[in-house]
Amino acid sequence: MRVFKINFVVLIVLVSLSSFMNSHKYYVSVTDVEYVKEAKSLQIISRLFVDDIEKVFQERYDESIKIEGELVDTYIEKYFSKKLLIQVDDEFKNFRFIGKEIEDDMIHCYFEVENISSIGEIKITNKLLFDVFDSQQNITHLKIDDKKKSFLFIKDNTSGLLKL
Amino acid sequence: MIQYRHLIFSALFLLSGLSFAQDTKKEERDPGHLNTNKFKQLYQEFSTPNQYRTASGAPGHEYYQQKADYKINLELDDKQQKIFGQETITYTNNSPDALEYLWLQLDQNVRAKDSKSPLRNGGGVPAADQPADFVGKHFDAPFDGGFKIEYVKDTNGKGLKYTINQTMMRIDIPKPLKAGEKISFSVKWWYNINDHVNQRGRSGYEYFEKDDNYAYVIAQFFPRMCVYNDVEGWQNYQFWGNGEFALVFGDYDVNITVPADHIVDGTGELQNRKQVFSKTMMNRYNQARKSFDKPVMIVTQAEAEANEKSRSTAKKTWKFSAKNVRDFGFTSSRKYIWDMQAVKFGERTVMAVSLYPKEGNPLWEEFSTKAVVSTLKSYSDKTFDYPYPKAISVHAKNQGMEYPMICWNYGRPNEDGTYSDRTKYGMISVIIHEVGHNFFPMIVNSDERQWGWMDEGLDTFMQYIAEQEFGEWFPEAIAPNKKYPSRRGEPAKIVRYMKGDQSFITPIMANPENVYQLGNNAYGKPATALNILRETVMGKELFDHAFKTYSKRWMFKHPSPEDFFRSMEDASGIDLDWYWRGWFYSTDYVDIGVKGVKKFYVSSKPTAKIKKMMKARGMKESDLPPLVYMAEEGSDDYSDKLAKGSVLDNSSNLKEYMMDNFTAEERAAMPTPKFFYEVEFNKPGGLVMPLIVEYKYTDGTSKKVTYPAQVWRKNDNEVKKVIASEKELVSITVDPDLETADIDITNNSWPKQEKENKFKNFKDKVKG
Repeated sequence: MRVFKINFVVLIVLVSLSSFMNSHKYYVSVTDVEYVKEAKSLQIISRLFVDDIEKVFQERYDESIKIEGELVDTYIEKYFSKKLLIQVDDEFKNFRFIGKEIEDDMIHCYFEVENISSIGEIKITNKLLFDVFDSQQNITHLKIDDKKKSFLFIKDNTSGLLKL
Repeated sequence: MIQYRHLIFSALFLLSGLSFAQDTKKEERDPGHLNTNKFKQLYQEFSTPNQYRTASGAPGHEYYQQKADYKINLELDDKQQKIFGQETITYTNNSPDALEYLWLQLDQNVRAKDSKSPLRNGGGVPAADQPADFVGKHFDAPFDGGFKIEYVKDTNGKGLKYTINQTMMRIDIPKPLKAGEKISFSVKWWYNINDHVNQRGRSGYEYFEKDDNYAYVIAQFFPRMCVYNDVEGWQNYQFWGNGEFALVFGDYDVNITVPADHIVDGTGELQNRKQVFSKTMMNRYNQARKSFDKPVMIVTQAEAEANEKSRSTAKKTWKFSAKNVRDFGFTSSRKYIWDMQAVKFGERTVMAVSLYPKEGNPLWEEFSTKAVVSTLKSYSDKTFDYPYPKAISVHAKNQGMEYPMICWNYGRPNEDGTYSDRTKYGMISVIIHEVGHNFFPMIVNSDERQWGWMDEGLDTFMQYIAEQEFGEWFPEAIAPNKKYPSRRGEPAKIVRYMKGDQSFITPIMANPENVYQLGNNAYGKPATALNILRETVMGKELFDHAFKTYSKRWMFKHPSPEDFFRSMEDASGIDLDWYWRGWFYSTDYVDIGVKGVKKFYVSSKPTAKIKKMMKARGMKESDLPPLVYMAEEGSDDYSDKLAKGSVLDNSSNLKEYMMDNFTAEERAAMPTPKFFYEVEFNKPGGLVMPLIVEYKYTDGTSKKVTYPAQVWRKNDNEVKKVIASEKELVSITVDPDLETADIDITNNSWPKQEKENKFKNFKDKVKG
């Protein structure tokens, strides 16, 4: 299993190989999952290349989808609910889509699971973009209470567990 | 008596250090260590200067470089998407060494059926695969790429022995090529052109289904000489796909035969314009050579759309000649719209050129040539006048790639002609970037195979400057933005990368094949590092002079990283070894903060600390010379009276000194500080950087002080500064304008500021 531990770092974003040369030649997304106890809230920010998510939506749903389009939020919600799975103490949790913002060539998607009063263990399954990009890598950072753990998910290894 | 007192006084303070050391007695002694100072010179990392490359960063008195001249005849088969070629290479050995064999690059072999390139990446068996991926991975490769070499012959037509090792070909010559000698030989080959849109690639075709046409952007299409030099010997590091190219300068004569209805442009000057241009095109071209303010259409959209329907069976040969270039690229299609504008450099007229299919409009006719002109002006101003006769921007669907005088750029509007800002600025930026590559690495010819950052980093740095100038020169083109929205260059934009998980970060000084996140490693971080160097560390004037010096010194030559580092120091008089070590040789990051602030008042009474020291030495107060004592607010030495009184009220010794040494008039004119602060700055990050501090006072005024990076030279973790002021301090901010890419700004303020929660901020914003 390819698991990388991290110490201090919560956020990491691999900004594109921009498009100089090919659009960008490697496929990476970064997802931060942070538990804020006072708010009983599990907060998720996923950062993906606009080009990649656009291509996935076009192949999956509709050829004409553009990230600037009106219906994109619905697709984001639909897609993430299938591809990003969160289990807290063995129970699958639904998350709410808060919104998105576009920064340069990355899209940042915000989700929240509410009413989590404590976490004994948390399992994350991250299959984002694997349906189109074979060499996709999804870096996922968990920060729960004082524990931090990072995973590098690839197509044949899509989930990781953090026990508190 | 006075002298005696001074002695005791000095002794008191000299010894104080020792006495503290004794307080914290250690059981074990620390081991010794090597010089780990961040300001240590880079003797170990840098190669030793020699007769080829000087310690000042300039070419040495025996600097040499090889020369490779090409005569190429090429035919493009538009029906089968193949290229057939024959070349004669004349190679001049300017090195002092005899060469036993020659190495050539066969870049197309990265797509050969037996290529090892796809095998270099790891990965497991997936639970499921898309059918196309599955076929691609487990069945025979459907695409038969790679060079099919038909012969390698000497000038007498006799075959030369050659050995192909992946993307490299060694030609064994009958006797060594001695210093100063030339050798000529011929190669014949063909290959299948790849689909650069769906299979990816820096070269290839795009197929347009609607009108059944191809647009070709062709490069790496001929066996090319490897570089032989004093740094690498033969640079025959395989082409795996990420590390780009190392190439020799030479003169090219290239004849390209294509269907008669194709429009062609490429590296070099067109030699037979009258044969391949119509009369109308010729007239328009002559107008374009005099049109310095706007492009002139050579082929209009209506003409290109009519031409799309043609299917000529006749052929035409376009003849190009280029002097002193390191490579050759060209484009060919029936679909092209073509415009040109003239740019003046001294007495020379340079043509800025764009070719694009109708699918690129309305974006391309509006911005492409404008961006080319703007780039040539911006880059020339910071380096040297653009020396080539033209610069072409060709529209390719989803890639940006550079060659001498020609580059491919993305940025395609939607089918209905609408486009987002992301597409528009992506297009202008990629054109600036790729046209800019003419300077780095086409002319300042660094080794891309080994050092991606030397061209990508310098070019991305220059791109930022050129983008900002584009915005200033064409405000209407970027409206309603006031400033061009650059996505790289500003320090804050590299923070996410630099604060990231260290497992996925490599120093800039690494081979592009072996780095994580090539985009940040070779483009974003070096560009930002140079931008910070220019704006914050060196200042624009010294930086620009040094950067220009490097560019001019290595124009039409092959620089190494040290040549850049040394030139920047040599021409500016600034020691930058610490900067190169931190930013280029390590993955350290900037994190500087303000740890604590202590407030002091002047006092007449010896403080507890002084009393302790006196007692330890058996001294009385009368043994001491007149001293000004500092009482910390809140300590036992402090009383409210001190806060109310002036400095002179609080210290009789100070008052007497002032009265003895200055007239009443002088005393009145002197500012007398009242508040004394000891500010402790700390540096959790490994990088040393200038300490930029903004002090704000109760009366609303503020003062920005920049302490040089050397402030950290004796203590890499923390440093204290004493601030004396007439006004009370209300806040202290480190790096107030975010100039240094500080990865954690929550520790940058005193008093401490609440940590921002990106998620909460966003949620609050959405709720609105």
